[in-house]
Amino acid sequence: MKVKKISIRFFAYLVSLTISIFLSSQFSLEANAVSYYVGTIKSPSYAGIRANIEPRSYPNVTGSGESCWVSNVYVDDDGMEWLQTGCRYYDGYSGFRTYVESTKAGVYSMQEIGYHVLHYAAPYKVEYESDGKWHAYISGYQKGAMTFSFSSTTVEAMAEAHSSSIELGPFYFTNVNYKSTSGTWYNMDSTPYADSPFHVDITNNYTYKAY
Amino acid sequence: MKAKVGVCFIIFIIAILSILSFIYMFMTSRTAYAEEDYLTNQFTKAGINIETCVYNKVDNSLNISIISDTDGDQINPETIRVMRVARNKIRYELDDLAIVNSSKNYNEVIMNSDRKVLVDSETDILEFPPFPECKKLKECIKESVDVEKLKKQLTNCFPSNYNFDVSNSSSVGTTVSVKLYCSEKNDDEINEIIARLIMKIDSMNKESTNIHQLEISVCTESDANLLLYMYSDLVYRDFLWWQTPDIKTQWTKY
Repeated sequence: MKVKKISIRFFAYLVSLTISIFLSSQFSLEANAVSYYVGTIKSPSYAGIRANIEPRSYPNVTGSGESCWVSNVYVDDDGMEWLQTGCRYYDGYSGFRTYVESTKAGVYSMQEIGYHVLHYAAPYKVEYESDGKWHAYISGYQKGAMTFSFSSTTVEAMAEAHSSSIELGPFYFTNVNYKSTSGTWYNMDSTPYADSPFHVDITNNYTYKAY
Repeated sequence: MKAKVGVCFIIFIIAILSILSFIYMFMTSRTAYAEEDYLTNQFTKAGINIETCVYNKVDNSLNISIISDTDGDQINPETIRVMRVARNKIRYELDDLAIVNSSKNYNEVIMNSDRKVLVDSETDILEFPPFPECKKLKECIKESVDVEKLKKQLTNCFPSNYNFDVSNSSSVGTTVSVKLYCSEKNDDEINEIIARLIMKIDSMNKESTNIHQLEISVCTESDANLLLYMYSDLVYRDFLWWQTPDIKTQWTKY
């Protein structure tokens, strides 16, 4: 009788152990503390950025995800503000999804919009316009706009991986341009960089491959 | 004589056309005003403190100004809930209104209690994403759901410190509200929980589950302080959230 009771308890223990291992594997909290960036930053004060970005294959992003984008970025004592557009690809996605993301006054927002098909160099743009707003464009169509306290700031064109153990892209950035405060577009002249373990192949400062 | 008759006839036609277009414009603007009033009433009924609700015919934009109950320069979590309710009203309950149907842009202004503009943004909230799971979700919004069964299913799928509540409405579908506790404020832990939670719900939605909206509250275990509040629409893939300024990164980076 005692043996039977012990067996049942042992069996119950095994079941609960299996369940907790399963759940912890589903919700493991291994810290992916930082993002890994590959691309260009132009600071301190510019009125826009645009780039054609082309993914050519679906990367292995098991358990994580990545994105490639153009963005303005503003930092002050209250924190960060930005308007960003690009495409993102996460574990379980059937393709790259275009999106617009922003933060202002404590409102964080991210909206997925459509697909970015492989082998298409989609133009993404974020720029300050005469209506006093920053606008986000995907393939020439406005997909978001927001008023900020600044008309010029740091601008970036990046690929971003959310784990060091996934494949990044590759993403082909071409015609990476920034907009001066006078409204003229120039070829990016900051040198692209890559956070380890990722890489960048530079044709010139406005044409590079992030991987 | 014939020429005179011809000229008179043309003038008569022009006059008729002018009167008809005037009547059309009058009726249209009256309809627009009536719809604005109706929408404003709907917002008010839903508890939204609405300052203005105006349809701009020139650029086909629907302009909504909401007064938040925050008095500072940063919104509070309640504002996120209000923004979601407002978007729901526009998307799901009122998309048969002409001012909504013909809107190309949704201009959303959030003010603090002193009427200072905190957020002024434009989004195309009526554009429907082409992803298969969104189509599937939209088709079953009006279906009733076994709330207790779904709650049990969720409880079985997630760790025990996740508290689920499930509600269902014919306008927005099934909303799952999750409240969970973290040991202390930890950017990585919180963001990773959010990212994994969304991934898991997305994967459940690809199978048999239909969860249309997801509301997440993350609190500290010790004193139940709210660290992050998110209210997402999974049909439109529209994520809105607030996080304590102490959290320096976002779940979208995980």
